[in-house]
Amino acid sequence: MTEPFLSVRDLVVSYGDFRAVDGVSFDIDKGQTLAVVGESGCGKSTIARALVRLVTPTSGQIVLDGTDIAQLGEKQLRPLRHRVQMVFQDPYGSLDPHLTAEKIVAEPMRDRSRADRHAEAARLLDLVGLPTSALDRRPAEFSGGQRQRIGIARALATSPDLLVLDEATSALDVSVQAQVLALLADLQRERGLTYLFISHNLGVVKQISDRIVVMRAGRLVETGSTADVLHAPTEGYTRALRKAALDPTTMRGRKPRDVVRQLQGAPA
Amino acid sequence: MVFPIPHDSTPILEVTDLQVELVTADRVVRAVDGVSFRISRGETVTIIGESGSGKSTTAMGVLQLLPHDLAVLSGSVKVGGVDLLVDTDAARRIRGRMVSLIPQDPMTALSPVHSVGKQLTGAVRLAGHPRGKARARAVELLEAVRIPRPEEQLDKYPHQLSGGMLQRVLIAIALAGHPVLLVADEPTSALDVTVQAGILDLLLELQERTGIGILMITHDLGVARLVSDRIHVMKDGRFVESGDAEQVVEHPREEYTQRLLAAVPQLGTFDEDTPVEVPA
Repeated sequence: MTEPFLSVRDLVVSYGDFRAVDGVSFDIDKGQTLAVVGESGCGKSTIARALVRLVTPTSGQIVLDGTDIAQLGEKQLRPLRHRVQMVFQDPYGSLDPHLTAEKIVAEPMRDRSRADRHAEAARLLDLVGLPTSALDRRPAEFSGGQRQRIGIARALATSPDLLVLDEATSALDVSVQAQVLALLADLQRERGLTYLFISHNLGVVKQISDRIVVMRAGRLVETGSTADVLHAPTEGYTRALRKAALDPTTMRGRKPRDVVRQLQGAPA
Repeated sequence: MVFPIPHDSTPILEVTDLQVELVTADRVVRAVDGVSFRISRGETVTIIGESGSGKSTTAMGVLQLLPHDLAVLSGSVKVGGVDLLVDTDAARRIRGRMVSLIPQDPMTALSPVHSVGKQLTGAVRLAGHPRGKARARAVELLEAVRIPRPEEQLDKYPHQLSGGMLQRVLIAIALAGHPVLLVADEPTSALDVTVQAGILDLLLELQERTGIGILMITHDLGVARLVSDRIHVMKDGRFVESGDAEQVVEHPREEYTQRLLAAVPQLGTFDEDTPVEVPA
């Protein structure tokens, strides 16, 4: 039996006395997508920050391809950092407005020659479906979907194995979201990337993930294959989330208030 | 308590050939390009569209909340038969009284330095209630939006309440002037799904009880399908498709609507889902 590519064991992240993540464990196999779902404050973004080591976990293990990175110092992390990259939610706030698209994508490749960086940035922007005219333009000149493509190209610049996507399509219109999800699926197939996909949107999660972790108040509520958890959720909280996700195609009749009425008294 | 809206043959809102031109630094943009729709008592009409479609500009045009020096409106916007584009003074008279706005982001819509009670009683007093009765009326309104222990909540500040509670407070403020029409601009986009469900249920219940008309602005087809009698699909300032909620979602005629629907990731049914029938 092969080891999972990423194995998180009993992860605890505290901010002062507050346990944002409280004893969470999960695995992701290479080339697979694990979705972490939950509502505001459930700890899903803190998991993302711990995986890219923007925060140091209070306790627990984050074993990446055999190395526990949970407590490594900055120096020991440096050679590993390129392997895990993050794509952020806000395509407006996560790109430096002063830099051109090319510079944004080339920035993580500072150890390479200038010509090399230029060629690679152009290749990556092409890979994510942006025209060559995009190279010299700045973030303000792009739409939200195009900016998210730039963010993905930047994340790919270090040839990572694992992408941590924190609500990466939540700020996008549905048609643009569909394009970005298709791009992510293509990239995964071509490059064998592993994704940790954080989202509050169960429809998106159903489309993109193999397995799912449902979180609430820092704890893992339910986990399993995406198909099983979404089709037959066993926990009350997962069922409430499932019920509250409004799928227009399953509603019948005019103003079917029953769809939401049953949720009164659901977990606060 | 919240008063029922009287039955009347005049539509609550009747918008005819509305055009909105926005003046920017270097050009004039026609953000809304000739839209017409009406809302009668007890009806919810939804304008759905993607960013930049003109849906929010339409709502702000109806409320006359666009800056006068930067927005040029034409056509007609009749509230209870009075054309706000002709009688410009009427807009000020009806806003907050006959027509109220429920804003998008409840976390930033209230003043952080005043208590919920002060902001709610302010709206109550604007609606003509005397100072002595304002607090009692505020409690009534918080009860109407199903906020538990309303007396206690009045003394709290916005940061002490959750997003869902704040949105309920904003709905209470919107109801203070006995409006006949609520304009809800993405009222649940900033909220978690379980909280969204509670707010949408509240809006549906208020409408069942009072017959209040609702103009809903959303990008979310699930929300639109749930709350609407009629849906207008907006793109580039125009309605590309209009129809009953069921028709637009189940049998969209226009290619744009079909593509929009196809782009929504489908969740399908789950093991306890049974098709919901509307009681006759």
